[in-house]
Amino acid sequence: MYRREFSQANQSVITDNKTLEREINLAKVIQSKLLNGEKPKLDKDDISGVSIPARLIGGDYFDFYPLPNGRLRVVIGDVMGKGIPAAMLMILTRGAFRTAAESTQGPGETLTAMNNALYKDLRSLSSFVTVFCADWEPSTGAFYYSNAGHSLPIVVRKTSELIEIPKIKGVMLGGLPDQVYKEEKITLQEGDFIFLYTDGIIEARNREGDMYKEGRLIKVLKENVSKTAVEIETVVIDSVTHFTEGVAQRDDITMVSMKVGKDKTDISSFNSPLV
Amino acid sequence: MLLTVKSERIGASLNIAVKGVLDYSTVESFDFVNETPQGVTEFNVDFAELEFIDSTGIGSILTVLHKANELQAKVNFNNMSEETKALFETIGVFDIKKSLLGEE
Repeated sequence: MYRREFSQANQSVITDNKTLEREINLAKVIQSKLLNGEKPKLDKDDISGVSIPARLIGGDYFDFYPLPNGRLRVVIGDVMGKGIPAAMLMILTRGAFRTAAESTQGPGETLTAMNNALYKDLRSLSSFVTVFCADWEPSTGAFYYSNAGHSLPIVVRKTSELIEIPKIKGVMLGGLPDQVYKEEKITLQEGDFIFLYTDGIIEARNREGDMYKEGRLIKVLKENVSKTAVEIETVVIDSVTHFTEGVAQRDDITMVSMKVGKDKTDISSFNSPLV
Repeated sequence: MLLTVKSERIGASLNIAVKGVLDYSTVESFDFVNETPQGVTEFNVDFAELEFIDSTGIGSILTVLHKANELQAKVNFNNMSEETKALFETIGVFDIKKSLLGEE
């Protein structure tokens, strides 16, 4: 009798676990599809993005949003925490970005609108999101950007020269209410490579506990600047994997990379709003 | 990688010493901050032996700031490494501290 009851209870746990596993896998598929949707096709420029969660699902985020004025709005973000809770807030962040991108003039306004939309929810959950947002204007080579607590991108010339871009800082989304995010601008040249990333890359650790660090990342980017955006992303992933020597990935790894082509022409948009 | 958090109440001060890695796997060691009683008017957080802090760890530092705001207490960050300072600067922790508590 006891054995039969135990067996039924055990079966119930197995069924529950399978249901949970199936739902987590579905969540992974949803997140992967949202993150790895169709990339914008630029006439001359080369753009890519990839996200590798440390667990089944993660809290990192990147997105592209072509604007009616010919600019491409790009965003990369990192939600505090990991796993399912972070993934849920990542979806919330995505919604806020897509809504804000449509109704705001520049990346600074986008971050301001996102913070206004997300602040109360994030504060009540004691969470936050760091976000870097930029507008790429292919026709002029202008790259406008704004920052909410995120690391700045790395820019490398085709000559492998590292470019220091003007620093800009702002409080992470969910940190303080009513924030106004400022913008900076740089002008990119043909062959320039710009790399946006989350801290999972530079904080990856090897068996000795040493971190990968920004210096290694910059070295890899400089050595491979002649490659395409996708190829450079692959090299970075390989470099981090080689460095960590099989140590389990502790944090989500996300990167967006763009290489400026010869002519500056329009975006062939994939989901540009009709306004 | 472990975290040891030593907390000691001396009069109206709560001294918190962080040793090791303050990240997703260890951050629960900081939950006691939410239970800080009335009467504490100063939090002293010592980072001298902090080896690493991630975004979840920063979340727990923000909890200290918000608790201090609730108690109208001061917060002092002591013995921060340049790396930790730079991270707090980038993310906006010092801005939040200034905004909530009126402190640099």
